[in-house]
Amino acid sequence: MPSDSEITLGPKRSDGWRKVSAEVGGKDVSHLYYGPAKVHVGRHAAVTMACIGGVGTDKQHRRRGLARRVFARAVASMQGEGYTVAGLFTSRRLVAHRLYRRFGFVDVSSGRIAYKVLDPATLARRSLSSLVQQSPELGRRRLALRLCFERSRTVYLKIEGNDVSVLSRAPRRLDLSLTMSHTTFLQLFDSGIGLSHALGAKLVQWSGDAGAFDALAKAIAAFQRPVDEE
Amino acid sequence: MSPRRRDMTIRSFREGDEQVLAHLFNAYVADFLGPIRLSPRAWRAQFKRKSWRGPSLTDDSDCCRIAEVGGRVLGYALTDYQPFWREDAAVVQELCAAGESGADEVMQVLLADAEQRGLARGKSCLLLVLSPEDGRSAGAAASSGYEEHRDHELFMVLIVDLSGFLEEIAPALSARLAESLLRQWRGSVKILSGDQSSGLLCADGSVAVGPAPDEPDVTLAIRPEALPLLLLGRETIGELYVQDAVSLTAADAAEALSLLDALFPRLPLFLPRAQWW
Repeated sequence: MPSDSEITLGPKRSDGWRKVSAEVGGKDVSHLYYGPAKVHVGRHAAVTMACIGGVGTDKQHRRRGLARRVFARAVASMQGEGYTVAGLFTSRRLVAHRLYRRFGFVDVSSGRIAYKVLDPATLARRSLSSLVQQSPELGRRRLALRLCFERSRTVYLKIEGNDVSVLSRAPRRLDLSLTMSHTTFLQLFDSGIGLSHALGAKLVQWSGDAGAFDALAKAIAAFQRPVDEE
Repeated sequence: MSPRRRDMTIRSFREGDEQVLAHLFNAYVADFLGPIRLSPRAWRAQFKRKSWRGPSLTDDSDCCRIAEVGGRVLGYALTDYQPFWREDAAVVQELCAAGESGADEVMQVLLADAEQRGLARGKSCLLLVLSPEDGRSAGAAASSGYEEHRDHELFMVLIVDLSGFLEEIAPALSARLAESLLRQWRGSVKILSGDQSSGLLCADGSVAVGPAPDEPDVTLAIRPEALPLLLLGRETIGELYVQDAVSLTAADAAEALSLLDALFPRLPLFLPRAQWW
């Protein structure tokens, strides 16, 4: 436990929210905010919840137990302020989720989201552009790619350097052809499933250059590294 | 695109609409969440919450689109065209329609409208946030060609004051006991979870909360990681029992299980968007 840090409970604002922070050398390096809400528990009751948000720790001060101390201070303060329960939103793919579990928080509800792709070509180009920006190896390849979305149109793309462009028709030489649903495509970028995993689960079919497939799979795996929130 | 009633029109939010929209919201969620009463002011407050990064209703009334026939509001959709977590998407945060008959069609028309507006703003996909309990929006989305996945977001909870929590829900505990077959049950229940403990005293169909009794009729020891699931009605005592997350000490274990099942039934979880942060 760092001896040079101090946990500070900020004043309560007019909306009931307050900040708890860890300071090192007078600088805020780890913090969270909490504030009040009533949450219904069935038809006849509501409880006073402390909603937690804005959790973060400076990168260079992580893995020193600061967040744990900030949370402990916040919970102690909540107990004295009439809160009976604390709640927060996170995602399973965040490292923070594991930390919150260690702090005693429990998963009570998964979010549900439905989506529809409005413009497959733009979606594919943007997603692959983000990928190429993060993956120099993929960016060094010149790839002609066909994406067959189930129950939707086929998209042809060209990856060259850091540029990804949509082709108006099928190219003469095709390096890689992938078939999947919109859901799978979005989940590759959003929800932490890898291309190899999707292949094993028969969510993706492919044909073409194995080296190109491997490079794409590696780039997607790297792209999906959990966000180090804590 | 779903078929559309010829006389149905879609328009943007106007000042004063929050009265009828809050009423519609309350009626919509009553079926699956119970009698929630969101005031027009609270309904309006959702545009001030931290997760809503879009413009205010005054600046961009398009983010609330309203379906009506002959001036009668049938439904509405709240769409955030600037979600902070996904630049290429528009996110329908709330989709509500009045009544049973035709509600699915109204929601499909509102979704189609949001799709057109999303495309016009350069968005490549439209996302619809669904309440865990809301099957109607999910049904309308499925009919409109939407696909669903569950792993997007997670709500986590920690019980910081067990006794305080039980005191807050004591009226509900009494109501549940009074409605059960064990309404005549008299006795005490001791609840232990980690370093927290509390007591329930049941008599005359009523439940009082107090300190953990020394000689209880029923002792429930529950793992801290299971406590929020039981108290918030996400899992029943029976489900937790078979997971070995609880242990029960009572002269009549079957009766104790029935009693705890009555006091802590499975419940819908309601997190008003106005209180999301």
